[in-house]
Amino acid sequence: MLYVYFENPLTFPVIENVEYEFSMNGYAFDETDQKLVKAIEQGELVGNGMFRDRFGYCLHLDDMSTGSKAAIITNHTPDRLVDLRECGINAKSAILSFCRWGNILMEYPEAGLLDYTGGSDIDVFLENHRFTSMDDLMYYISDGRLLEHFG
Amino acid sequence: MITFGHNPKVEIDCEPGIYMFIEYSAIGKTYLCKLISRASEGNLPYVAYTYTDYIHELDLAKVCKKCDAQLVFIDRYDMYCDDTVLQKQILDISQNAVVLIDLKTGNLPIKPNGFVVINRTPDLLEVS
Repeated sequence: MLYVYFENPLTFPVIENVEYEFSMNGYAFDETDQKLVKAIEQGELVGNGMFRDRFGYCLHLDDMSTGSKAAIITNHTPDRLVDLRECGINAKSAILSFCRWGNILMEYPEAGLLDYTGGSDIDVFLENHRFTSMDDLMYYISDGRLLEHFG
Repeated sequence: MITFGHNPKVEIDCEPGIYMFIEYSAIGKTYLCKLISRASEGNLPYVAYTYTDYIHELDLAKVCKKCDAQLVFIDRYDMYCDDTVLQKQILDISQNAVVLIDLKTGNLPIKPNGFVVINRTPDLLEVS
């Protein structure tokens, strides 16, 4: 399950510097990583430390967006809390749509989240609720949470 | 309009001031930062400043003053946006330069003059 926090629960080591963390580790990429990079970059991982960008150019993984790097770290680091402060709304949305485990810390989303699932299930835990649908999660974050707190 | 480079050609259609990018990942911000950094090596009055420069205590104001910067890119600003000295420097620099800032957080420490987007094709990178 992917655990989402709007405040640091102080129970995990935190990864704040995503660029540093990504550059210091090697990752055995899987299908989830491919989905994340496709959603965020409109690109694909091609192996040998390279990815193909939206224009078809093969670039080094260093040149991938910080959002994609944070997403891959989340998928491969279930024992730490990944701070998504450098992620855009599309990267946050891709992580919520595809990551099946891990822990993320994100600012309460001001802009609307995007649904990349195509109707597939998610597995997200937020504020004592387990969500299996992106629709339900998006409703909770935009309206349901406030209704629960104040209504 | 600031233009430089070819393949891709870069066009920045902004007057001096502070501009934030829309809150999306992978739109080409860091790539633009690298292009600006390379252009600055060719003695163009541009500065690319990122978190690595910040933790190495590179003085942004001095760097900009030295080259009379017309274009400044502040990359990964979420990592160091609480620094009030730097906030003041950015405000000062923006009087004479286009300052583009990569900041995802909704709590902007500096009031921008506007928001910009990057339009990319293989041959052109346009900021407007």
